[in-house]
Amino acid sequence: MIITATHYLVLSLIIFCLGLVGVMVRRNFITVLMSLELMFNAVNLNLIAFSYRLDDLAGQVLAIFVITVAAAEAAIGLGLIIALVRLKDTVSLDEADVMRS
Amino acid sequence: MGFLIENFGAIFFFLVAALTVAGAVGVVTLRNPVHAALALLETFVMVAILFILRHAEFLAAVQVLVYAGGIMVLYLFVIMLVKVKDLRAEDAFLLNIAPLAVLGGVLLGALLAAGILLGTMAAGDGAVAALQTIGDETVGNTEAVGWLLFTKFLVPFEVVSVVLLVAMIGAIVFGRRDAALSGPGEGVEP
Amino acid sequence: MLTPTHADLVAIAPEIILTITAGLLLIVEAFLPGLRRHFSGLAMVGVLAAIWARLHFELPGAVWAGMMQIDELAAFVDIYILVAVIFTIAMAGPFLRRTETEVGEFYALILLATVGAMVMASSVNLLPIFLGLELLSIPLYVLNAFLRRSQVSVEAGLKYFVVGAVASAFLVYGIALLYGATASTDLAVIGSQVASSGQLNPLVAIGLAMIVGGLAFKLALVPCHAWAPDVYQGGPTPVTAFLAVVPKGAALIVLLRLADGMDLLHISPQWVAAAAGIAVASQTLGNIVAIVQSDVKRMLAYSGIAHMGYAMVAVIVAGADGGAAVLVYLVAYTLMNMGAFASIAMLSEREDRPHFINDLRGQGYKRPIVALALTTCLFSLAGVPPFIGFTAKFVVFRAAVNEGFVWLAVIGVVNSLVSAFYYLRVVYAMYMQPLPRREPKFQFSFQIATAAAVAALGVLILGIYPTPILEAAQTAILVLVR
Repeated sequence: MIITATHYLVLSLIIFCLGLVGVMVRRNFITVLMSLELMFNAVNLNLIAFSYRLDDLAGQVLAIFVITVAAAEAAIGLGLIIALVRLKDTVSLDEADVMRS
Repeated sequence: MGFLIENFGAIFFFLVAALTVAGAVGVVTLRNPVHAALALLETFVMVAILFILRHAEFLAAVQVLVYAGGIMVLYLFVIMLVKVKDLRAEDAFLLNIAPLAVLGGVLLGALLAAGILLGTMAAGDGAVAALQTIGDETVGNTEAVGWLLFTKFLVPFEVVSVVLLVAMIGAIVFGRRDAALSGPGEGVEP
Repeated sequence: MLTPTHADLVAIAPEIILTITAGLLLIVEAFLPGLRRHFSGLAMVGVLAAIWARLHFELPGAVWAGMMQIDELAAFVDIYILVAVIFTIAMAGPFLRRTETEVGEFYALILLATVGAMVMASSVNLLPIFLGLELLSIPLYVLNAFLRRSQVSVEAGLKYFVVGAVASAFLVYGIALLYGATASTDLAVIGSQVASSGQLNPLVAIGLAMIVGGLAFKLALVPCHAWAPDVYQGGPTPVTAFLAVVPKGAALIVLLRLADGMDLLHISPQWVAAAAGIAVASQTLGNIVAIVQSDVKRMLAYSGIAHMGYAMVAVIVAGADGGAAVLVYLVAYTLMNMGAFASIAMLSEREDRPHFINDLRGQGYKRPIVALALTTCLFSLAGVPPFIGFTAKFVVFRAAVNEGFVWLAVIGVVNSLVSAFYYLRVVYAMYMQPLPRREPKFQFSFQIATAAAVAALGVLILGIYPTPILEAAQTAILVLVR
């Protein structure tokens, strides 16, 4: 049995959807952030699989950029957690919701 | 035995893939953020192994260094900082929409899977020669990636460096405690 | 081997100038915090220098190994973005002083976000487009939460962050799929491959749908609009003004490039159906829900959703007509919103309280200039002639009719009529109702009043005499349409 790009794509899809479900379902902001990391990792798996299949290095370079961006987003997200904890002493997204009018 | 040796690559892939998915499931379902973080770490490492299987050695190293080494430490730091033990645990899930969200995720997944299978089933994999060459010369993967990064992808590289600068400024804004950002005019609700 | 040439560097001179100004602001903030009062001036000088650079240097076309395309279209969008930033900075100075949050980081982040928007709008490769979007979004996550003592502000930052990050993930997943299907991230290569095959293969279709979905989040189009009211309400008003205008403009240009490059109008009836559905739903929902809002900023959020619905009509039409209509619409939308938000930035007491329409009662006689500016902009948003909002809507609907989408134009016109109701309600409160017994204490600021007045004048003058904008838009779009 030969492992092709399709296997990787399906795996990446599963991880992406798990991450998406995590973002929607979890109310703890830290876990929401982790789910977002899952989604970006799924993208990288995709890029690597395509890079191998197309025999094109650009996919790997793209993945480096995605990793960098994910790191930057994580830093901002964690900063927001600090701001939220200082203000409300909570990391729950539900408690940070006063604007429903 | 012969079957195992013949299909070693495939078996190894499925093993790693199963562990990756298990880690991802752990992130989404574990209630304690520290446990979720460990599950995420496991996923990161497994993804790095998958990168190696697809001849992205440099990226695998970056994955371990940046994700497992950098981001994960950041997460654990913040988890410790906000003192998870003091937080109430009951709101880990937003239960009323959970089934809907899962259903939505599954539906989206099925839809995407159908498209991806239709789109990629026919094509096979290429040779991997180009992943390790500059011009006609055979070099390591790291060198080839670096070459591409600093020639064709120079402008994105500069842009992403500014993105990192912004992330740093953002962290400073959230981190600083001086008077300039917390004047009395915008106090918390009295 | 690629060595940056003179043309490469000159082409991104405005971006370089803005980045350097941002760095300068950070350094001055660190070492000479006493100069804080002059920061908005310094930032303004940087933006003006960037505009000068864009106008002064010639436009080289494709640069940086074909990643960016600096031509008349890029120049048009860059200048529109930079003008929006001038308004933002003009209202930010007094606003930050009032809320005692004036630090260099604010302006630095605004300028860097501007760089992101400019990169996004002038790139013809999906990778820099994605990175430009990130460079635009990440500062905005921080800026929305900038009033850290205000709960609504931090909340706005959180919501924008979660939604924005998911949108980025969708976008980049879509980019990965398109890369896999076409072996390229270059819009021209992807476009010609798709256009020559005459149909969307499943991988391309899904990738495209995910990219459009990611951009729809930024545009706050239905069904990805839920974040807009909360983020608009909670964020600092100058940031809201920036957020309402700049990311939407850049995202629309990217959508236009995609739709036009692949010739989606002719090869994909599914795209036309989906996009038309989104456009109609956005217009209808935005306008109907806006009617029941009591907070001006929330009302403008729903109004923004509706307006992006109108702009989507022009994106569907694409081609020379539709493209020019998108550009004209963006200019109109920018001026109207900048004027409205500048007025609201002044007519506000406390940032962590809602900006009730009722608080504006009687202000028409108390603060005549700002009230008049706000009235002008609201009339224009409603699409009343002779203001520029009418011109823009006219151009969009004419393009739609010419391409055979009469029904889209009719729905748009009906929606405009509905929208007049809630815009005029604010005007009614300002001029026809007496001041409330407890008069709200609004701090007068000459700078903000000037910004509002200039925007309103622009709305009026370009509404009466729109030829320069129409001509500039037509010239700009010709470089995109083959």
